[in-house]
Amino acid sequence: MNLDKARQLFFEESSELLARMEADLLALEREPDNSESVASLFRAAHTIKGSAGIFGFQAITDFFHSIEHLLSHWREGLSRPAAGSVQRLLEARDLAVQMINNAMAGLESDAGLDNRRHQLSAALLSDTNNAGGAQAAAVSPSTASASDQSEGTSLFQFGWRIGFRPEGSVFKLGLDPLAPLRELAANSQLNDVRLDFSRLPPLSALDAEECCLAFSAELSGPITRQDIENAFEFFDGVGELNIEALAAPEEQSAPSSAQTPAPVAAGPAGATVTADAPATRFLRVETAKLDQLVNLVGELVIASANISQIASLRGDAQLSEASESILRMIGDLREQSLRVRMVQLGETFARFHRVVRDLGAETGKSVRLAISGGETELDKTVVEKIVDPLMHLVRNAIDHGVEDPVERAASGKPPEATIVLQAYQETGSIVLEVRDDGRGFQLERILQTARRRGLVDAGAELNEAQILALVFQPGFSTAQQVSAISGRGVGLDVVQKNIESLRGGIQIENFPGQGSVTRIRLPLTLAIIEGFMVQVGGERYILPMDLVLECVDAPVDQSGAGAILNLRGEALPCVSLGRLFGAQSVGRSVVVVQYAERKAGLIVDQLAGEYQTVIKPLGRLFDGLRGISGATILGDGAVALILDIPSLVDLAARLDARPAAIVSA
Amino acid sequence: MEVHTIEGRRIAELSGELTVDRAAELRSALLGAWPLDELGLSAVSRIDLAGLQILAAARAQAKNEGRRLRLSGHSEATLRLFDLCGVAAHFGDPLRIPAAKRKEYGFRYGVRRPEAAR
Repeated sequence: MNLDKARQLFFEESSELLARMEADLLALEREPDNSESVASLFRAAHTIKGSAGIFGFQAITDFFHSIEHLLSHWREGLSRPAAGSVQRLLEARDLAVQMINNAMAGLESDAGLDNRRHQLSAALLSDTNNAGGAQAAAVSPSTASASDQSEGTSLFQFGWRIGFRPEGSVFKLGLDPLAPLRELAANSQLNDVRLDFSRLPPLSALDAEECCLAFSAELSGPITRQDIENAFEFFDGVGELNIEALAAPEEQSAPSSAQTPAPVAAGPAGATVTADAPATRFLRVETAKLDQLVNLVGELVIASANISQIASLRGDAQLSEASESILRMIGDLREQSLRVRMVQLGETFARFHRVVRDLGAETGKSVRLAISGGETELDKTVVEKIVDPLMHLVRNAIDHGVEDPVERAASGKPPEATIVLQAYQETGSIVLEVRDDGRGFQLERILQTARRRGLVDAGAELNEAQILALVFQPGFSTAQQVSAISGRGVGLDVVQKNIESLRGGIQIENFPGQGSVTRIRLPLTLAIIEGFMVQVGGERYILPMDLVLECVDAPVDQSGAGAILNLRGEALPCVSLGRLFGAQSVGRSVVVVQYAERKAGLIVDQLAGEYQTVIKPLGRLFDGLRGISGATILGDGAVALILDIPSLVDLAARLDARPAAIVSA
Repeated sequence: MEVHTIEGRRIAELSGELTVDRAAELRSALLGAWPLDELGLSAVSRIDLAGLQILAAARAQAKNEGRRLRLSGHSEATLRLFDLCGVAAHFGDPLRIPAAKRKEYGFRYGVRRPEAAR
């Protein structure tokens, strides 16, 4: 591992820690007595400080020293977190984000930033001293940080190995030697605890009140040498404690480990860095490697489909059976490798606490954020791409949707508005909702604006859905005053485009006077889908299996592009794929699909069954193609097009308006 | 402490607290009833390191005499301590954990067996 990589690791780790600090600070703002938040904040600040020092980011180290100083006061109960100080720490955190970004970009220090930093440092210091009463002034940052680093809280500390041999007398002193272990287990992962029975005599020779046991254990997690020593503080003088830092094996020969100061012996502690492989629970993997893996699995799916096709062509039962079992395993492999890329949405959602808080303060509205479904998992690449759209929707909801407290009180609502971010799974898609209890979309005003912008003809009569669709038009914005938050002309059309590029869709549900719900639907995965193959006019097409409800055999008149099918008494709008794609079609079967709670039938010639499908994007040439979302390569090397169900369902609904024929299934 | 003999095996049922305060008392009770083949732990409400030490010493005693002392019916308190200290393999007796509670423990059977590791 070279130094660049180690630095990269530092940047990544720091941004995670900074994100955690933000969450903790917001939690602290709500409950100032939450000692857990304080402890977590302190650990994060301490770690960043130590690591920044290793890489020579002196400014960051100094800055975090003043942050940590205040936090340590809180942690030790010398003072309580005051609202002003929490706000100041939030500002400090934001500044730290900038500093670290600058450091990452390799920028030289900038004077404005430095100024802000010094001001904040001074403010934090005075917060610390004022609140702490007689507390002496802070130690000079640089000396303090140097000594703190040797405590070994560096990022590259993967864990500790501790050995503890209590003296025989501890039982008589009323001490429980396992108590520290329990305490440590609460804050870190306890691995490989071993009791040492070697000094234990048989029962007849045992003094029951004399402790003859010793133990060793491995700890991993965000704890420092100091934490461990603190846990054992009651055993000072009546036990022998040994603490060794465990280094990650990779770091052993790396230059960064040479810079990681080995923990210096303090008190009874020894100081050896062992080569023991630590038990880590997470592994950092480059995304490129994962993508490669998923690509390979994709190729494997295609190749194995080829084998099973050959087997069925030859009518070779044995080969068929063998290829079936390969297919099944590849299916598992596919699922596993895709799951590796899945991340929970909770972390992404949590970022919005700050956004909502700040926007509420900016607009003078009181807004609360509620999150649900944070455990829903989504492909990492998708998560990265939905942050901006979600941000936009939340801003919109607060800026346009939520009324100010006076107006809310007048309409009998609680003064505090609620924004709900929700995620859940629905047939084949993940749904993300941004819900607010504001005034809802004002259709009249939307229509007026659209007329003014020339988006609709002055005389045109539009229904609610059509009016709501207008807000997705490029350049549309109704904000009566353009604020810094939204209404900058970059509107929902960009959001819609981004979502569509992820093969998803966006939808608004409006409750005038009560609020609105904006729903984003995204496909579960991007790369490989469980497909359903159909034939139309000699060509094969793939549909996402998740969206298929059922198949029915029905003779359908295909004189027009659309038809209405009487499906057990329900009118089902149908699209003839043969007509749509200009192919010779006999139209024997109807595949019933559902998307966004709407059903439609696709008229096809033949059903060919399930098919694992690797989605290959179509070139830009096909961007404007309606009804097709991608392509795949079949086992025999032929190309099959993947049908874009959302747009087909949409099309069916529109053709519905002028049915060509009504038939019964 | 109750001692009964089943099929020639002498079994002592321990109950209540196996803690430092009762360690000396427990030791003499065990020695008084010695030799024993099995200690029943189902009624043990609390146990600490001193109690664990007695169990281990009794096992060592039996081993010296060429016998094996079994532990059985581990109560929840006993299981928790065994789990924390990783001594399940040292004693080597089968443990019964209700399926519903299995997630509360970190037991990995066979993993912490001292002779297997290193």
